[in-house]
Amino acid sequence: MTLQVNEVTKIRRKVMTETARLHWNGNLIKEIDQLPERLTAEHEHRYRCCEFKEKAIYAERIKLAMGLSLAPEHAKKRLSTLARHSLTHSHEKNRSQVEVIDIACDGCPIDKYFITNACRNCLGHNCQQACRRGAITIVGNQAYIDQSKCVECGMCRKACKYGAILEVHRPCEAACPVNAVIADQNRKAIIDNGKCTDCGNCMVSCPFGAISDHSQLLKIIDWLKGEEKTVAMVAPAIIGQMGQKEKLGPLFQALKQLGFDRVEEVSFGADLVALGESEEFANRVPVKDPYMLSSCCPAFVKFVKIHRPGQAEYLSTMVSPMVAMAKTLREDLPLAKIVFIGPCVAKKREAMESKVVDGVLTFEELAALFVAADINLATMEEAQEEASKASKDGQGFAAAGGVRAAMVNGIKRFADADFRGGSAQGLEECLAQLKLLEKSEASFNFLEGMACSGGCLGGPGALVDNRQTKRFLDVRGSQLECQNSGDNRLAIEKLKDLGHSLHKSSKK
Amino acid sequence: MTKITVGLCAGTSCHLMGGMDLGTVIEELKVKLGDDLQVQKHTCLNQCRKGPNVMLNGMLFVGMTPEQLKNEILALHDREEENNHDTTGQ
Repeated sequence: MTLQVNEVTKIRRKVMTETARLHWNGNLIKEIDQLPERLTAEHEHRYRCCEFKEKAIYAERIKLAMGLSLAPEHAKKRLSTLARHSLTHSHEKNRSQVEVIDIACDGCPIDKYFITNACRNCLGHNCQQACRRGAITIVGNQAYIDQSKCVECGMCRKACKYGAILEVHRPCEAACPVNAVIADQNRKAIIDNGKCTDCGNCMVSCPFGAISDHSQLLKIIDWLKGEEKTVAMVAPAIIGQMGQKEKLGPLFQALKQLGFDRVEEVSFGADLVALGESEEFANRVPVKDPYMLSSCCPAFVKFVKIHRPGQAEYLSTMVSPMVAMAKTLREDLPLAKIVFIGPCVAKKREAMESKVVDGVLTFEELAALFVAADINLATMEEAQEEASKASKDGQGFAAAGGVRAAMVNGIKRFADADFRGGSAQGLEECLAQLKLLEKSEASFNFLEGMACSGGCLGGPGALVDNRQTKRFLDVRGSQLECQNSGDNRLAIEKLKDLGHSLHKSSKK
Repeated sequence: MTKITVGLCAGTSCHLMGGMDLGTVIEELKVKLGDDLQVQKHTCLNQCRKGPNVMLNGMLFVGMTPEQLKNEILALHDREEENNHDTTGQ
C-alpha cells in the first residue's frame, strides 16, 4: 500500500500543529477555545453536514492532540478548562491508547452484502440459487437480502452475472487483525480494549479520520521549555522521514534547536538487544525451549500475550531497544526527561509501563512540533552528523527482517547454536507463523514478529512510504563503520555492565 | 524547445502536508517530459499555512494535490508545445 497524504491526514496534522503552536508560543489557554472556529474557517472544504458539526469534531481532535481522553466527563467542558487540566495533571494510566471520535464516525454499513440498482431482476435468479440460507427474495423488481438470514458467505455476489451485488467492508474492522474494532448498536465503531494491541492500523485506515490516539505534545513542550534536561531518542526508522533522504545531520540539529539537550539513536539499544537476545537464544533453544519469539515490537508482544497466551512463555525476556537505550542513558542522566521518537503508537503504552521512558512522539507529531516552532529542516541540509555508535545490524531493526538478520550475525559467537530464523510482518502473518510453531511444523526456531507491514518503517506514525525509506536505510547502513552488533565494542561493554537489567524478569 | 520550471517546496511544513507526494508526481513527469521539465527545490515559499506549495514557471501554487499538479504541468506543457508549433509553422 502506498502511503499518501489524504485530506483526513492533513486535518489531523493541522490540528496537531496548531495546538502545539499555541502552547509553544504560550497562548494555549488564551486562544484554544477559538481554535475550532479558526480551523473551520481556514479550511475551504466542508465535509460534514454543517459548520457546527465540523467545529465539534475539531474540538474532539484538539482534545486528543492535547493528550486528553474523549471520556464523557470531558464532553461538556470548554477546551481551555481541559487544557489547564491537561497541563497540570499526569495522564490517566489505564485508559485506551487509541480512541474513536464518536461524532466523526460515520457509522458505516454493517451489512456486508448489498444488492444495488444494477440488479435486473433476471429470469435466472442465480443469486437466489446460490444462497444456501434462503436469504434472498425478490421484492418489487429487485433481489433483496434478508440480513437476519445472511451469513456473509459471498456466494450470491459470485453468482450474479451483472456484478450487481456489492461487498462492503467497514475499513476500521477490516484493518484490525484481532477484531478489536466492533460496531455498537448505532453502527458507530468502538474499540474492545481487552483485545486491542495498540498497533494503530485502524487509525490510518478510517477514511473519516474518526480514530486517533493521544498525543503527548503538550507535556513534551513543557519539558523542552522548562529547566529539566531532555534527551531525544530517535528510532532507526526515522531515516528519510523528514525529507532529507539518508542524512541525519539536519534532523539532529533541528532536535537540538527544539531544545533537546542530547540526541541519541535507539539503534545502539538495538545492538544491545541483538547481542543479548542471541545469547539468550543460545542458552534457551533447543535445550530448554523449542523456539523463541522476538520481543522488540510492543504490539506483537501484546498480541502474543492476549491472543496466544500459550506461547507467551517463548517470548524473549530482553527489553525492547527503546528501553535498553533508555536504561543506558539513565546511568548518566537519572533525572532527565527521556523522549522516544518513533513511528509507533504501541510504544506509547510500552514507554508508560517501562518507567524509564518519560514520553513518546511519533514522527508525525515531531514534524508538527517542528512546524509549530518554526523550524525548517530544509534550511539545515549542510549540517554534519556525528559518527554513529550503532552498527548496521542495530539500525536494521527498523525494517522487517532486520531483527532476524541481526540475530544471524549475533549467533555466530556461539559456534554450536542451531539458529533458524523466521520473520513475519503484519499480525495476520505473525498469527500464521505462530500456529506453525505451535504445531511444530515450522522450518524456523526463532520468529521475528512485527505488527506493521514493512516493520517499523511502515508504522502508523511514519511520514514517508516504507519502500522509499528502506532504500535510505540501506544506503546509510552501508556507510556505517561498524556493520555487525558483534563487532560493536561499545555495545559489548555496555551489555556487560547492564546485563541483567535488560531482561524483563529481573527486578534490578 | 519547451521549458517548464517546477520548484517544489521542501520545507518541513510542506513536507508534513504531503509535499513528498508532489515530489513523486514531478519525478514521474520528469521521466515523461525529460529536458522539457526543469526541476528546482525551494527551502521555503513563505506560505507555510497553505502548503504543500509549488512554483510553476515563476507562479506560486498553494495547497496542491498530486492530481492538480500533474494536470497543471501537463496543461502548461501542451500550451507551450502548441505555441512552439505555431511559431515554427509560420
